[in-house]
Amino acid sequence: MRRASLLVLLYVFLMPFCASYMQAGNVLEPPQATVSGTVTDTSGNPLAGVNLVVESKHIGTMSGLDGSFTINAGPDDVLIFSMIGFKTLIVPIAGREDILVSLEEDVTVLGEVVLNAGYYTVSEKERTGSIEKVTSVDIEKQPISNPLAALQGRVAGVDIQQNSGIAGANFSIQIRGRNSIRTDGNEPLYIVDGVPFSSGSLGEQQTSASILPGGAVSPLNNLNPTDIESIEILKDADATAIYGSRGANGVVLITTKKGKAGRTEVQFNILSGLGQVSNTLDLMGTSEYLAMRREAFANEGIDPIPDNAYDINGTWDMDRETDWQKVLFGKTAYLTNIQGSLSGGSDQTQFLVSGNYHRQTNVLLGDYHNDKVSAMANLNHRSDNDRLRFQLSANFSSTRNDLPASGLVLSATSLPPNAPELYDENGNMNWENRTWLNPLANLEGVYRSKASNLVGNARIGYRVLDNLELSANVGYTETHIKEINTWPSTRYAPPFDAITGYSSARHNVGQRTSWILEPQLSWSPKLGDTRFNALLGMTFQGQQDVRLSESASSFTTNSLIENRAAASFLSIIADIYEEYRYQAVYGRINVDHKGKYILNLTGRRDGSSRFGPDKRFSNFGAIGAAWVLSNEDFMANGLPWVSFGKLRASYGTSGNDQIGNYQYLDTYSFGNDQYANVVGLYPTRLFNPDFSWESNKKLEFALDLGLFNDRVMLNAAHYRNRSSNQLVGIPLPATTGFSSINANLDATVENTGWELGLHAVNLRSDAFQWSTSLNLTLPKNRLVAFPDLEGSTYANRFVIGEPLGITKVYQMEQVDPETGLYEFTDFNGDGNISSVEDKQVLRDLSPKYFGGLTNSLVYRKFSMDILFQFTKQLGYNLWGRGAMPGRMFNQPREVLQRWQTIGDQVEVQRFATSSSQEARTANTNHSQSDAAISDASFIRLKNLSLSYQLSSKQDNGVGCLLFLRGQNLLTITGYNGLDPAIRSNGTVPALRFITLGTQITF
Amino acid sequence: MKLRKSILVKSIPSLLLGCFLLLGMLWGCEDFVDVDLPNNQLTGEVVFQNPSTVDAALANIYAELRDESPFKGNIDGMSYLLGHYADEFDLHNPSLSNVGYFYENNLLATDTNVDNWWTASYTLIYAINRIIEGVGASDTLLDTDKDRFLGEAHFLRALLHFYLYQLYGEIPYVESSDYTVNTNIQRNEIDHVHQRMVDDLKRAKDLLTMETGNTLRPNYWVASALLARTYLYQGQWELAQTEAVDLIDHGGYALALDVGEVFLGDSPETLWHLGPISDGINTREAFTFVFETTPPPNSALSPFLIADFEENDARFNAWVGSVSDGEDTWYYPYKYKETAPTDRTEEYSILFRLAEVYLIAAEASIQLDRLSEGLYYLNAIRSRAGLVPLAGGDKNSLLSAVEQERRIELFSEQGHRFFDLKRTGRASGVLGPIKDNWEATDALLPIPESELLLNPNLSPQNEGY
Repeated sequence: MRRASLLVLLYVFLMPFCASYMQAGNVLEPPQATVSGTVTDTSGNPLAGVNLVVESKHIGTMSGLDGSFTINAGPDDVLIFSMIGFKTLIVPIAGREDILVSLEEDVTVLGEVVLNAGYYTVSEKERTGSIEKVTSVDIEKQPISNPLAALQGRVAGVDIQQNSGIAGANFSIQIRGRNSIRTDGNEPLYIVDGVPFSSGSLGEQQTSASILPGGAVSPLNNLNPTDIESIEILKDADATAIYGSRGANGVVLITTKKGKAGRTEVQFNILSGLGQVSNTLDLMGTSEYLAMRREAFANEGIDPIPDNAYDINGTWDMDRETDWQKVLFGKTAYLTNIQGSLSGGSDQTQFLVSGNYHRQTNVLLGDYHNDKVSAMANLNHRSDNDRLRFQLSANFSSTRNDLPASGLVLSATSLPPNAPELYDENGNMNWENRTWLNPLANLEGVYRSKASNLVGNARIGYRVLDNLELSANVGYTETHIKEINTWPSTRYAPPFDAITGYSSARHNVGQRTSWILEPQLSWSPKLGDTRFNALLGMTFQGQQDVRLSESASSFTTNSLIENRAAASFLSIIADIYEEYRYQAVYGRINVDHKGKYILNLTGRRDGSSRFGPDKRFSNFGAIGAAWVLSNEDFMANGLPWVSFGKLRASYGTSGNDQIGNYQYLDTYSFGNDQYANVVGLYPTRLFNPDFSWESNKKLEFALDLGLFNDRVMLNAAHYRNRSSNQLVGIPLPATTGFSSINANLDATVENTGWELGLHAVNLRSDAFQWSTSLNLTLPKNRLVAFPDLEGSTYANRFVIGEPLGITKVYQMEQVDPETGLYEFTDFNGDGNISSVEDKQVLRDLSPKYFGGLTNSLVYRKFSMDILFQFTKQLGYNLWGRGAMPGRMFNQPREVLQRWQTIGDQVEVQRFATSSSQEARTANTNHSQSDAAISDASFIRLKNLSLSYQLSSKQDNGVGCLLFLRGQNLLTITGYNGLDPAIRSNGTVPALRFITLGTQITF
Repeated sequence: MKLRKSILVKSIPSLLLGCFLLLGMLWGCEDFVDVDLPNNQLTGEVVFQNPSTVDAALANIYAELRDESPFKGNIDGMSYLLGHYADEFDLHNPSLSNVGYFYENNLLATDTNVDNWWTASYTLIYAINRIIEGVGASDTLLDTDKDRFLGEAHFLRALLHFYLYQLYGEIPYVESSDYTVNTNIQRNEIDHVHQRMVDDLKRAKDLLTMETGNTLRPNYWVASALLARTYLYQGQWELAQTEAVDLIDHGGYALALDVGEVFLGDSPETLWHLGPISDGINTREAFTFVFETTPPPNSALSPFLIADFEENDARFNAWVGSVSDGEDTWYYPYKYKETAPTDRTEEYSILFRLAEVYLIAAEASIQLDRLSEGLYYLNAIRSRAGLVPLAGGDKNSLLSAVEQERRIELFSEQGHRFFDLKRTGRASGVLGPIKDNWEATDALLPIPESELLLNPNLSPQNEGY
């Protein structure tokens, strides 16, 4: 049975169509007979594209559109039918000439799930490495615009954080923890349809930083989630070593949808929805606020109220009350997504074309929206004799994001509630005699990005011999971005608003092209009960980045602010041309003995232009092994309820070259400054020609179990990754002239952890099905070694034996009952609270554990999916803002528990104005103390999807599915701040979306 | 079984061939990963082979002095912030909180400007040291070019360290571009800093030309003026006096006859001013200080300074602007007048001018008890301002007169007022009564906290922070 299924797999995945070879080989065979028949599902619908092979021979074919097949086989032969999503069936011909076969659907996860491992595919049952897959079924259930959002809560070991609720904002991702001491060296490698997709931004910080947290726009936003068939995450050494120097932080493989054989199918997906911020702060109202201000001045003994305390000296109306959060970021966001696709094809040729339009407006005051139009086309072909395979795919997207030039959240949470009207009687921006900074000023400027993105990929393979295939993967990507950020003079209070000489704009135009060529040879012989898969390939890759950023200022009129020609002064912020070349040879040998013992060896030799001439090449490799226990007789006989059992382990190395280009060179750059008509040259960096790869050694042990005929699947994995030879921009004091230097540091970072997965089909009947999936990750990060940490510039950031995510803070003791000011532990006893030596309390901001729980229920035509995401972690709370209670900032209502009179034992210091240096210092220290860091754990109802099958295509010719989906519906948290998942007080929290849509298929 | 073996055997040759092809390709083209330099960069080696690229490296330092250093004329430069820190300006705009911290003498070690001034200065010092090392090692540059480059570089190194030590007290005098040394560098005692500055300035004087044609670049006399100021600040009166008098007598500069001409681009008393980013742009100082509406949008000159002007001082009319709403009048520095671009640049930010050298000569002479000589230099400045020359007085009253004259002559220029109060030990006496938060320890800014964190050798923090 097992051997048979292995054979099936061999055929399914390697497509060995050897009938013609057999004939060409002039090998004598017993007399041939022809067998024909039809394959259907259990309801009798014909199944196209079912693989069938004759067990004893190397002959295979596929069923046609009507489910029919014809194959040469003797009367004693055995046929094996297999298809993804169905249980494999073994049918002895037993002399029949016409065979009717019906395949049973395979509801268990494991089935014959095929995983894309990048350069090869492997079945879920036979994998030796750690690979997780999220398919379009799950991705499509979420109203999202960034593919990474689809992975939140679904994949063990992958920590994904949203940076902001603003449309188009980035997500940050860490696979199995932070390996690099550098904060910017922890990105995984992204591969879209075999083509590496650089996630490095082409944006210019200066244009986008003030509105999009996490810096410039990410190219990943350009990918359309609904075009994605699956996302595979490669985690351990066995899976990532074949990516060599780029695999240290894991690999994310994105596979776009492909056409399927069958009748031509047209599908429309239409969805629209409403979104609002998931949370706002409980701030003080006008009376509480004014009382706070008066108390602050009274505490300082300041009387009368100074001229510039406009909020309480009568300049502003003290009866006004505005909920600035509602006004500034309380709008309803609208989401629309329309998708159409056309697919179909024959056995040999399949195609898919699809187009998508996505629009999301923002919750910010003003009219801002993010639009994305994308299209994809895909063509597959295999030749008559099945020797030639060809696949072509192209994805194109165009994105436009309109945002204000800077955010409104900080204003919204700090403006006094009695601050003046936004508009005066004439509808103009109200500056109230220049006594306040009208938040509308932020909206005078715009940030707009337009990006387009093309990923093209062709694969061609030719089967030279039955088990030897020569193939090539050719890819090309092109990304363009155009950004503009304007700061018109109208953002200043009169009289400056009219001085257009103060207006400025920043432009950024970037382009990235990359190509890849990967010839590959694969050979899969079989010797007795042992099956081999060998692979040898090479990579040639080139990437060019071109970017021009300009600053234009002083315009004759603001209406021409976007026109560089209208500016009196133009200066260049950056004119960049960068080239990256990469070359490698890689290989894999996989040995599978009787389906019980599997050994997988992978390796790569890499060369990258990012390193100095003597440090360019390096070797990486891994060994992975699996023992399929359930194929052993003792298991099959002794524990029949264990339907599947596998122990696997892997060990190997991979690397990290995310350091930027040319860093090893001692260069001078042309700046944007002129002096006496000479353009300045400045030293680009402190250089070090000898730095090299960061190396990462990964070890993993895992157990995969299937119980009760695979109705319950359990996975447990323990990993240990050690990253050494850390490639670090070592921070330097300014006395060196630079803030850092790139060097390899002999420090070691260890990530260990447990990943647990459970999938259970709880109930299964014809009418009702219920399944549950749970994943849980318990990560642990530790700085193992750091030579001379004490004497290094990292002394105040890291501690050996502690996680990299720690931050050192003061220890808040109490609010001094005498003075009413915060008191901190004076660790060094010098009588002062000073930064280095008194920041002795460690707080780890990385998650303690996280995971997700999914329940899927199907009742007749209804189905429901519920995803809960949970994380246990700490985070900076509202006190981390450092806004001092008593100054002209609104505050959360909890400041009402402040110190008032001598003897008060409270948590919040007395209200004070900025003229009190002690109060300011105490408040600043408080914002850098353990009191500013608190629990930011949460359980979030991330996704709820309800759908109803109004009509089925099989029955009526037209399929119609109605669905209602909600995102971020509910958050259970004790976090003192806007959003525990974002953990920032300066940006829009995640939006709560409810969408309604329909899918029509015909 | 036999069959499969035969397939296997047959495929071995092609497999091997494939392997060899692939490996051959790899070893054959290791230079595939060689890439050209980016189009916006030159290697350090190339820069120091060619005088025009070295000149561009120096040009960048001047541009940064203008745009990103404590000398810049914006609201984050010394002229503006130290004017608030001392008694020259009043702040009227509460939303300029960073200025407020200076105005209220309420700085923290995490202050942005405190950090930026430090960082910008040392970033330039690194670039200067690279030039000193690179030019020194170059075998293709002509000696005349080398002298000019090295002379300017030594001067600039002294200039930046001069202000660092004025602002932060004992600071490291950085003379190498080697980051391994500079990472753990310690603060040098004032005497050491002073000696290194004098050495650099003497070296600069040796190398630089005495020609006065190009006021956009420092020459021999600019180095001499900074040397005179350095001696004065250290109380080395004899040396200060000699240096200043030599400059006055032999420099070929003259006081502008009319105070209205002092800050024009072609003023005869300008020793060194900074060129604009492009022709037609005028100074940032004018843009920052001048206002036309009431109440003042940002800051106005303090009533204390206005009160200190003597009657009929021509400088009040020429250098102080005013706006009135009928009830109150506010004043602003009007030394630089052009707030908008003009056809040709009319005004440049002046860093060294002859009037200061006269006042150095006056003060040093008086300190040496050569009172009449001191009076001569002091009265040259007074007369030019249309004031009655001082007839005489004792040493102390004359020193007070010099302080008063410096206050008026040099107001709103590069923090002169604050540094004068500090070096004469009068800061607490003058500022204490009028500034609520003033403490004696405020004479020094804090060392930026980020620096202390990165280099513990810079500890301890200055007192009071």
